[in-house]
Amino acid sequence: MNQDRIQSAAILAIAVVLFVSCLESCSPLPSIAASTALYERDTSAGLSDIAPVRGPVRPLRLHRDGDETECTLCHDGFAGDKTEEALKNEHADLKFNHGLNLLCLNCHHPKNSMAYVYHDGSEIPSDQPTRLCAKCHGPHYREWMIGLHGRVNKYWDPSQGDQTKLDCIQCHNPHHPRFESMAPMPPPTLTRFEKVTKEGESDGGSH
Amino acid sequence: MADHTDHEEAAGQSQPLFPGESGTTGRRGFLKAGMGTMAALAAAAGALEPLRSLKDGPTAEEFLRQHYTRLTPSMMEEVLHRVEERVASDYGAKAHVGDYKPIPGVEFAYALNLSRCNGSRRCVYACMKENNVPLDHPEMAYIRVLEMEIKSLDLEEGDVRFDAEAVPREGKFYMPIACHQCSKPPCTKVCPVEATWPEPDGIVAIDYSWCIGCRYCMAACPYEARRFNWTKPEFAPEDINPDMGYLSNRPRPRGVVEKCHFCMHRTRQGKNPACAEVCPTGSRIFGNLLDPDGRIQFILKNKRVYVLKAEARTIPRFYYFFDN
Repeated sequence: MNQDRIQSAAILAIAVVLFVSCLESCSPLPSIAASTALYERDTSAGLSDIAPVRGPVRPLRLHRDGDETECTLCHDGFAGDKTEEALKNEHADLKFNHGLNLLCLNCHHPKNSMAYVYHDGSEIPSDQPTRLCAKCHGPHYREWMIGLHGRVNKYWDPSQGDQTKLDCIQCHNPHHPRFESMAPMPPPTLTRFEKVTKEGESDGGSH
Repeated sequence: MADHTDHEEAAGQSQPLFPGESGTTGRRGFLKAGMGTMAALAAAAGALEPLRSLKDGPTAEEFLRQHYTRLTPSMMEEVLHRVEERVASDYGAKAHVGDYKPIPGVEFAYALNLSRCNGSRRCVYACMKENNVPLDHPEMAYIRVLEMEIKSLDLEEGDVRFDAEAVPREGKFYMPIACHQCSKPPCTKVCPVEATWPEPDGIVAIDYSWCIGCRYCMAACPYEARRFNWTKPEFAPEDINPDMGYLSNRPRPRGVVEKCHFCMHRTRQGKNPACAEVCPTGSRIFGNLLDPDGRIQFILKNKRVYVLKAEARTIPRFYYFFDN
């Protein structure tokens, strides 16, 4: 029995010595200060593209052939010809699909073409389009106010930092407001053995 | 040798070496023991030999590292520094690794608007970028998006691998699924080494240095939310997200399980998780379940809320809801 005890004690001691020496030999890591040319990535702007679907809020302009024209060029102090013909000619590139809201002057101000119109005929500045939409879309506006409709960025906790909200027209086109379809990102493969080929068809793998 | 002589003399006087034992140790016995030791030594050296060629195995420090909950603040500081060194040596990137603690009075919850989600999978890839999941391994993504028939909630009919020119498709709706951070998580109960546990703020955390990779938790999870690292993740230095948390997005070693952790390194600093930041439709709403004026409680009180696999009694902190 003694013999066994000594034997196991010796084995244990040698195993410990061996283990420690192994640690010594395989543990060294270069210190951060010593290693050179480390890549330092700036993540202050975030890693993913959080730009809204339609970009920033832009002032009212006529966009044609890459040029921007102020609305006052044609609509200077008058509402313009409301015939369908004129609309087709001058704003042919606009799609219209806004439900029952078919008239330009429901939203655009009849006198000041650089502003929107409120119920009482007063002006809504063109940089506050949300007030215009709220005229009719009360439930959505109230949900937007408390952060349920539309995306709220930056901080979930308002006490720790700013929250940013998007304006309606940063996601919805006011002339055809239904959210537009988009291309999805690639689907996952189900196993690590299954590689997606260029045609998007999978080869190998079985399930 | 001097010791041995002493033993022999002691044995000669019939004094047992260990109390309660009798018998003698002779020179022959000692030699036998020595030979045995030599043989064991050689065997041990042989057994350890493969470790030397193991390039992506644990370092000695990682091998001896304590469980997360038993690390003192000074040990934690040392550990975080070692992780930063490891990122520097393995990936050539300068990282900051933090250990972010739960905020008192905060219990995280997620609400996802099924009426809005359009299945664009932007959240899936934002999550992968944020959490240092290699983009060429989409099977490792924490979020999976199910495409389902409208007027059905049969998960068996859902298609994870849908691919379309444009989404949403006619007659379909989309249901992203990630870890539900359950109040009664089945995954933590089955872990044989307590490498995964629920944190006070509701997040189910994993200590990647403690996980033995048995994958019991993956079998236990009713939401298929956990992923296993078959290979060591590979990145170019410029693809690494250097803002890391010890329990969240530091690069995981091969052979451990990982999953969504509500972007612990972001949300415990008050920020939104990466998936909520990027959702083009604003379907994802993240907040504090305990805040009576918060958005999560508003949804629970005013919307039609759906809990996935409620019959599993996991009591998730992830709510799906519908609106008009």
